[in-house]
Amino acid sequence: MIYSVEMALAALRKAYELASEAPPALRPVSARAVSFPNLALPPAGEGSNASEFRDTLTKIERRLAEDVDRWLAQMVDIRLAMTRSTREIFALNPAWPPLDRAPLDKIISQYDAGDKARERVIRSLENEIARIPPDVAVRSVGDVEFFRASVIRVIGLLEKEKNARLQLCDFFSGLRDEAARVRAPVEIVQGVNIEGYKALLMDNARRCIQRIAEIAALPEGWHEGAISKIGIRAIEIAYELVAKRPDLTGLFYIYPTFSGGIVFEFEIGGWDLSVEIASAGGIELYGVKANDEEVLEPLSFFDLGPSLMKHINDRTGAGRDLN
Amino acid sequence: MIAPVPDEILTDSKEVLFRHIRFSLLHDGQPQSLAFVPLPKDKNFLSVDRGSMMTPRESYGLFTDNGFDCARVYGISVGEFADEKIICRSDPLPSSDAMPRANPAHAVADFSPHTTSQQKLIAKRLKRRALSRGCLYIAV
Repeated sequence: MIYSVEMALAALRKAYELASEAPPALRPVSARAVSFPNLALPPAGEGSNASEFRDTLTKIERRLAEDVDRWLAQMVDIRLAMTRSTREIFALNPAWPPLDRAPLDKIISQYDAGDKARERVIRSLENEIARIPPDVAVRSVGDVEFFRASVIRVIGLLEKEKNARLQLCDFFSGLRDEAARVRAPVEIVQGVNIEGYKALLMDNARRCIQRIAEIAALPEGWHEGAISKIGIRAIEIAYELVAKRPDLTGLFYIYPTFSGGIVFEFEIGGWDLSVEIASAGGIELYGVKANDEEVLEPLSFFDLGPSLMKHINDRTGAGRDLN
Repeated sequence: MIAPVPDEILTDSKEVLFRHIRFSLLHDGQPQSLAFVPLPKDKNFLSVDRGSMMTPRESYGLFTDNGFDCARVYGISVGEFADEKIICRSDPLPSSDAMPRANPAHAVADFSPHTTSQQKLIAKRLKRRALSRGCLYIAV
């Protein structure tokens, strides 16, 4: 197999780096470093007005809300990516060295530390409400109320982000435990965990078949009313591809096309490839090389025969273990 | 907010343009590359919203308020489009019976210099750029 435990851990580390990266407005780790008076609020008194003061608060809130939205979206992506890649990697080959839990534990503890820092920030902001900062207290009653309401909304955003981070941390802890469990001794043939491999292939094939069934069920006009129903021939060939290349099923992302066909997208061997099946059954293979300008211009095929498979294998090395 | 000028070429290469991804074009959270090229009915113009004029959440809200489904919002910059020889133009949309909310931040990316085959490869590269930037908003 092309994967290794090291790659899995590298992927996890990368995910955690992303996970622990604070949005710009929250970057300080010290609770005292984050408070509204430090965010360049306009001073009260001559030369300042309520509009400027409130605009500044609104801009801060808006920027934070955008950061939190982005961060929550990326957490969902991290979970999906880890489910797809890391579990497969850990399950496949017990011949690899024993799983070293230390790096995972270290990452998780760093993550916990990040959450504690956020907790301090939230407490600090709550204090801001309890005792309005002096440079805000001298403003009008309306401004003070505006400030108080703004801080409450900011705390809500931070709580939302913190809770999502905690859930992600639980997910990673579960993944670590699962990784240890699936690496228990099992039958090994030529270095491969046969039972684990078979179960994995079945899971992956089931995932693909389920997805093709979803696509087949799309109604006429499924996209803004302009797209025809997916062709029966395209559906048949899609099922055939899953049966023919079980080794790739874990990598397939499957979608309907706007011309009533189905496309399999997958990345392997440095290539980002697509096998696009037209509504009536014609097949195209095309792709781009990741981190390179090399491309594979669309090639046409009548069926999923050896010619198409050779083109895939030549570029990816996929399937060698099975051939 | 300054009113956008229709058909003005966007020149700030760092401006991020938002692209909405429908539920049917996601598999396990991964968007389809063809979601980053125009549909046949769109005649080579890919619809996007301007990041200089609204947030991803606002872009999502406007899109869904107008009756479209959207699972995620991704971003591609004007400069990244330009790298693919794709020019972006402002294209503010007024409200209408079909679209109750006007969209002053609407813009289009012009894919007309490229053949359908080329567009498929460009779609892959644009998707990779969008993924590396990360999802900007996700429907909850």
